This record gives sequence, C-alpha cells and structure tokens, in this order.
Amino acid sequence: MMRQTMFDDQATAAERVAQALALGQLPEAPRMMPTQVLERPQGRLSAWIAMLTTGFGAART
Amino acid sequence: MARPRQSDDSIERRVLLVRAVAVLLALATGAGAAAIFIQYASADGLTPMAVLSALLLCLSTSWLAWGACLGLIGLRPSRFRAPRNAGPIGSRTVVIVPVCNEDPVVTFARVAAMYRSVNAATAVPVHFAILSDSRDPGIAAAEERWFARLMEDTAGAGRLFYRRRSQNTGRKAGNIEDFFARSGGAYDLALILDADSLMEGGTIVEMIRRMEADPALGLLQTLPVVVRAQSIFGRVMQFAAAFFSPVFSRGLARLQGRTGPFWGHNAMVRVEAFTAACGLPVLSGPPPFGGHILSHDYVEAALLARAGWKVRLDIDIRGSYEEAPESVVEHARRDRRWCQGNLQHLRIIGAPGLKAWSRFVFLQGVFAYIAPVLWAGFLISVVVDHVTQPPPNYFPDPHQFFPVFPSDETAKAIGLAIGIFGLLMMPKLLTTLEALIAGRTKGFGGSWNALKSVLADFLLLSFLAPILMAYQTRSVWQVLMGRDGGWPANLRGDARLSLGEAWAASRFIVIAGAACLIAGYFLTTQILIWLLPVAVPMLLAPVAISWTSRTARPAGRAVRLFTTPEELAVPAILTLHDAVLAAWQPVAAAPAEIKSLPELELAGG
Repeated sequence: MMRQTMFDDQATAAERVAQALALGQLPEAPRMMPTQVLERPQGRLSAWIAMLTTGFGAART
Repeated sequence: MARPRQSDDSIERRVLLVRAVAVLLALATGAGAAAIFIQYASADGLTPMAVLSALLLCLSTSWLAWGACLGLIGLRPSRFRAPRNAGPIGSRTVVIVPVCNEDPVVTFARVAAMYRSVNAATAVPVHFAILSDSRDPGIAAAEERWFARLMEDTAGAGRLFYRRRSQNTGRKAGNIEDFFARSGGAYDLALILDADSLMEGGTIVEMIRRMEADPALGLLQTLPVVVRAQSIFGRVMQFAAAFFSPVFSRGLARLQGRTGPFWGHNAMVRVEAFTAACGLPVLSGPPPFGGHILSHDYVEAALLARAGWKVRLDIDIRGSYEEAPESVVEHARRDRRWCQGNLQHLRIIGAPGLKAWSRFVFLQGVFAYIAPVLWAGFLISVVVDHVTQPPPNYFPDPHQFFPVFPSDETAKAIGLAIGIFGLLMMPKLLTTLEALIAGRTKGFGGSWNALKSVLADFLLLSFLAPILMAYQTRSVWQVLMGRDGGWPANLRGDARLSLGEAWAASRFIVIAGAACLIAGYFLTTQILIWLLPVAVPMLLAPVAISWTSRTARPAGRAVRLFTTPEELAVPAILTLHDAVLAAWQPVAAAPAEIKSLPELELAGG
C-alpha cells in the first residue's frame, strides 16, 4: 500500500507512519507530485522563424 | 464491483450521442434566433452593425439554449446505481480541511461533528487533517488554541492533525499539494472539503465504499446542498440550489460520462491518481492569465481524465453540505475570483492530451462569464444600429407616384423576445412540474408553498439579474485589463450591509444605469421602455443589495417562503455541529480574532 512513496523499504515506511501516528503527528510519508505539462511550448513557430531569418541574414552577409 | 467493459463502452456511446444532440440543438437554436433577427433587421436594409448584433445574439442564445438542454436532459430520473464495496473497508482515508483566515471556532466545531459522526458510522479509523494557510497571527494563535480544545473534546490524538504553512504558495491547491507531498503516502483516499463543508459520517463511508468498488475511479464528486442561509439573498439562492440543482446536475451527469467535474470540495480523490496526475504548474507570465492556477479544480478534473482516471459526479449521495454567500456583494466577490480563474483556462484549453470534453468544459466556464458581456454587447449594438440608421426613404425612385413602406417585421421581433424568454423559463417550469409530479415539493413546504417560492425566486432573481450582470461584466473587464483580483478570504456569517456600504459597493452600477437611461432618452425614446427592465434595477442596486442582505424573518421550523428540506428536517450532522458550537461558544473569545480580515474588496466601487 506504500506504492510511489519515497521510501525504499516498505516496512520501514509503514513503521515510521505508525510511529508518527502513535505520537499524534502527521505521518511523514512523502509522495511525489510530478508537475504536469499544460502549456504548449511557447513561441515554437516564432523560434523557427527567428532561426531561419538569422540563418538567411548570416548567409546574406 | 467494476462494471463489465462492454457496459462502459455502451455508456460512453450513449454519452457521446447525448452530447452531440445537446450541442447541435443549442447551436441550431442560436442560429435560428440570429436568422429571425436578420429578417427583422433587414426590413430597413441590413447594416454591418445589425450583422454584429445577430452574431452576438447567436452566441448568447446558444448559451441560453445550452442551459435549457442541461435542464431538459436532467428531467428524467436516473436509474444509475453506483457499484459499492459491501465488504470490509480496507482503505486508509484522510479528510482534508484547508482553512485560510476562517473563524476557528465554527470551522473546528465542524471537524469535531464530522469526526464523531464518522466514528459512529464505522470502526475503521478515518483521519482528519486541518491544513491552515492563515496569515493573520491572531487567527493562527486562535487556531492552535481551538485545535487543543478539539483534541481534548474528541480524544482524537493520532487521528486529528493540524498544521500551518509558513508560506501559502499556490493557495488552496498548493496547500493540498503540500499535504500530499509530505504525507500522501500514508493514505489511499482523501476527502477534500472546504472550511464551510459538512458531511455526514455515513456519507463519508458510502463514498469510501464506492471508491473501493471501482479501482478506475480517480475522483468522486458529490452535489453539496446549501444550508444555513440566513439572509434574504442567501435563502433565495439556497432555495434555487435545492429546488433546481438536482435536475441540472443530473443533466450534467448524463453529459459527462467518465469525464466528470471537480468543484474543489466535498469530493473524494484516490491519492495515487491525484498525486500522479494533478501536480499543477505555475503558468508563465504575470497574473491574471499567468502565475498560479486559480480555478484549480476544473484543471485537476481534466488532468485526471487525461491520465485515464474516471471522474464521476454521483448526485444520489446525500448528506453533503456547504454554505454559500449571504449577500450580493459576497457573491460578486467570489464570482470575481471564479471569473479570473475561468478566463485563465483560456491559457490551458489547448494543453496537450486533454479529453475533448475537458476542453469543452473549459470553454463552458469561459462562456459563463462572457455571456453577460455578449448580452450587453447585443443591447448596445442594437441601440447604436437604431440610432445611426438613416430615416426610411419612401420614394427610392424619384419618378414613382406612390410611397414604398418598409415591411413591418415587429411580429418577428416580439416572437424572438418571447422565444428567448421561453428558453430562460422553460427549464425552470419543467423542473417545477417534475417536482410536483415526483412529490419533491413536500420537502419545500408542500406544492403551494413551493410554487410561491418558485415565483418569488423568479421575480427577485430577475430584478437582481442586471446587477449581477454588471458585476460580471466589470470582472471580465478587470481581468482583460490585467488586474489580478487575488484570493480574498471568504467572509462567512453575518453579511448585513448598510445602505452606505451597499452604495459604496455598487455606485458604478447606479452610474451605468443612469447613463443608460439618459442616453436612451436623448438618442431614441422609442426603445427607452425596453431599457427600463435593465436600467431600473441598476438604479436601485444599493437598495436591493442592502435589503437582500438583511436577515430573513426567522420562523423556527415552520413553513415559510423559500423553505428547503434541510430546514424542515435538520440533518443530523448540522444538529451535531450546533451541539458542539453550543458547548464551545460560552468560552469562545469574542470574534475579535477575525476582525483583521480584509475589507470588502468591492467597496472601492
């Protein structure tokens, strides 16, 4: 039941949770929350245009 | 247990069909209204302004028709029976109560009531975590004192927890994320509440059983019932929510399929799903469109669906309660935050991998706020078109003997107005009919009292509609102008506003109403009468706001106007909360601790 926690050893994790609860403390049982991608890469088109125009500019000089 | 795959597929096909019919019907209605308007407007020659008016009317009417569709789809009673685990409960569950500058006495008393209620409902331990983001040192100190009292009263050591963040990064979503990042590994399920939420212990257990029965279910949303409204405005809204919401929500539930809503509270999440899918990014750029995501709940629902989890709204779950704003100003203040949050969704509507329905829900949320702006734009464009039109030319041919009169299309305009009014009224009328036939009116004090309440609700909300429209229009304007509304704390409890306070919060509406009437009088007296239903409530906004914030006449448990089922038969959890409060109040400090709440933000006009 300790999937995805940052503890390597499940038994140690369960023990630490139980210890915290016995002491009346919020259990330290971290769980990763990976940041989701919501924005499309900004300015990809403009980056291409900038690169091409820079390239053209360099070629012309 | 989980339904067979084929059944899920057939449900999804039906959902797709219902969605397609509803969207097409709404668009067709809007197009029909625009076509009639074009016929009417082209009698004197079609102008570009009339075309703009038709376009605005098409969008506005489509939106109205969409609301009517939701009501119509929800009229038929649901036969859906959610699967539930009838065996022993195996999940470790935590109830999360985020608070931010709330009155700790009332809030912690809710936790005490729910803790007792859930312990009476199951022997399986359910933990409660109060997650404070309070910035006010006075309130923070009071929270610690009252948490000690809570622990003393409940003997909840090891099951009740309180923690306060030193930085409230990411506001409520950040608060919950912080909890999961630190302690999420200790739990399988988390019930997310608001500070004003109340839930019966039996309801919490039922939600756990439903979550356990369907391992693909990432989030289970309940339909919270509004309770404890005291003011006239609060009771009107409470009645409307209790009487009409079940039908509209059933319509929504039929359209959503496995891509349901999350309203930010009174919902249970599977921690594994939520933590893996709902880590919110900070959007690039400054607020209001960049920065932290304000309306995080809609985004979290979309992210769960994107990751393949089911998000479901079960409207048959009873015993889920919340409180609501008690005055127009409080309502507008909350709406300002929602407006900014919903418009911010324009930034993420094209996010990669989202379900098409999630994108549509974002669009719906945006439309909810720009619809009043579109109506206002329609009214203004019609007036401008009328004023700028040249007088009719009765002799287009200089050699003709008889005048040519433009065709009279007034009947079409009146028909159109009646049609739009019908779109507004039809779902409510049909819901009233459904309530009468199904015997639902008993809970509202009987058929006669329910009918009186529906009529009074219609009259009062029609009068307040232009005022609410003005607030919404201003909110949209402020967001588009780049003004960040922030995240002001909710003011709960007594919301009575004096006439002076109401004037300060609504003088811009009075000025706009007066300007509208003066312009109508000088520019075109013909349409002045049509402006009166909008302009008069705007002129009287301070009186209406102040009067509706007054406490409604108490009548114990007797039947009165806007009676709701929860007033006639007070739910057990509310009684329990009252009992805890009664025991705590004599020793509770005067509410001096919460005096340092921010001033009414809207008072600036």
